[in-house]
Amino acid sequence: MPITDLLTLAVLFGAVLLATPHLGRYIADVLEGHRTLLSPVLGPVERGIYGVAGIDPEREQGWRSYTVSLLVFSFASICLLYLQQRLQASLPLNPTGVGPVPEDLAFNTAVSFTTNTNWQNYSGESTMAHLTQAAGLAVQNFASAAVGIAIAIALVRGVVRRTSPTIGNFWADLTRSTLYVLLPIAFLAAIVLVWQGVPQTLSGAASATTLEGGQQTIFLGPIASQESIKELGTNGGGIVNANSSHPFENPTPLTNFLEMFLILVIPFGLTATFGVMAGDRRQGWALFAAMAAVYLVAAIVAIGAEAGSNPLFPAGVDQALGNMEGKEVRFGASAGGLWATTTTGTSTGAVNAMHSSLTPIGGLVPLFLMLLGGITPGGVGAGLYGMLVMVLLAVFIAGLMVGRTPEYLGKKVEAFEMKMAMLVVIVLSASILGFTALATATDAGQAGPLNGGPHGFSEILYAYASQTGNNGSAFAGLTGNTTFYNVTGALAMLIGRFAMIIPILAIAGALAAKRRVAPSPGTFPTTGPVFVGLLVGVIVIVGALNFFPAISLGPIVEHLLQQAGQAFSP
Amino acid sequence: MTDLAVLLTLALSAAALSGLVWLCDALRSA
Repeated sequence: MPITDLLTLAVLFGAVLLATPHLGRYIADVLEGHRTLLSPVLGPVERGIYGVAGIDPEREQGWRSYTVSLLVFSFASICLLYLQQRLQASLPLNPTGVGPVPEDLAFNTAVSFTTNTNWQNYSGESTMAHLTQAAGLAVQNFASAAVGIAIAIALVRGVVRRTSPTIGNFWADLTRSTLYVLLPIAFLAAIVLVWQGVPQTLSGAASATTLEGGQQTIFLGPIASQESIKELGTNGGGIVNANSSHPFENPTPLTNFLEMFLILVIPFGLTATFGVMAGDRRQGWALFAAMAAVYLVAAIVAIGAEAGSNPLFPAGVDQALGNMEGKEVRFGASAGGLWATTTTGTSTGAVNAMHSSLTPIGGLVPLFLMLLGGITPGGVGAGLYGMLVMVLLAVFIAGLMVGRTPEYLGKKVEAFEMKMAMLVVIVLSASILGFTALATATDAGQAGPLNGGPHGFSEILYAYASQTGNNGSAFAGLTGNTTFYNVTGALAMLIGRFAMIIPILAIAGALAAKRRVAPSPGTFPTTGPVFVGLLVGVIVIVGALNFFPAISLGPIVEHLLQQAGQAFSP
Repeated sequence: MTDLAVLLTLALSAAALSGLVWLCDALRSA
């Protein structure tokens, strides 16, 4: 087991642990409209936005109105981003002279970035103009992350308010999340990235003469500004095809560490936001502990798996550095495992190594984390609201075991909340397994995978797990830029985002309207190790029950066959 | 796939999600 990577994990987690209570408190203050450190500077900007858009932040919405506002905003964003891609050849800031993005690819990309997935069936250098990158994709990086935070806060308000018909104002939540949380942190992070050597320019490319006397074109663009929000907003869509394994997106070990920190800090920080808003910080720490437990175990397994060797290599091959296939030499094998855990434990999807080159167990870890629903710690906002759905399930199961009406923070968890929670769980499974089945059963789907055998199946399963879970990473062997995968992928992303958000906001509305019940001696405590253990158990068991057959056909069989010395040709 | 097909798919998706909002509301009222 590589000590340096375990130390990196320890320092990374330590930094996140230190930041969590402070960032959580700050986000709570921002979303509740309280005065903060940045209010003197950003307050007038906020009020100006409200004035121009005609928003009254004090006028709150019920869950239906909140949901409709969110859907209108998101679908308008999809249409706008689609048009930008289709018209980019006629718009300014296209120094590389790329043409319009084809219809099915533009559709998939527009849905992808609006749903915080950032699944990319294209290579940014050769497909997207600078204007599309900076004013289209990067804008959605901010907007989709802000939408995630807004939904999470709306659900938290539903849990903590009593007999309230409203859960907040979507437009105010969106504005405050973007202005006070995402923009300042992303700006500072971009400065650090530029310092470390990440390019930030609107020029097209640089030319270099190679040692053989040929001409090489080196892509340049507004990389730092997109990179910072790509990680901070758990987006994951890189400006270049190789994503964070490219030295222009991730040049040094410091940027590698910083980018992982940016990925983790808001998802974990929102647990503290929950604790602050609930008036009991221990509630937030309980969620933090559940997320951290799964994340840390997964990271250690992945680090260990990638530090190991491939038994199919001839004996003369030196594998002292571990599984170096698909890895950056400047980071090493296990660093790819740590990043893979971080990017799929959240819903980021950025990569610093090629996931299709991970060992079978190393590839099982990111796949399983996505199949759990992307809640350990999950995406910006999406992690918290997904985790709260699992909390309701855990509390319900605890109530069944002791014969009491389940309740959470004084709110009774009744039939409607359970129906909505199960709808969320079923939607995730149905989309992933349904589309995977469709792809494996059709010629169009079978044309996608690069590899034969179980790894080829894993490529398909991973693709739909990633898109439904709004992750965006891929086993890059899959040829996704076909009409079949562009359309089915876009539908999976829409389902995974909005068909889960709607029942979650319905839960928020239902809980907000309830009165709070005083705790009694029989109330199940939702802080402490027993609850955390139950919560982790529910998460893992629900995930395992839903997906064990599928992962058995993919990475588990691949691992067993690899140990037995069997490989598959494409 | 044409632009019109894309817009139609988006419209149908929006309609389906609106139907889901209606369904959730109906279940709550039941």
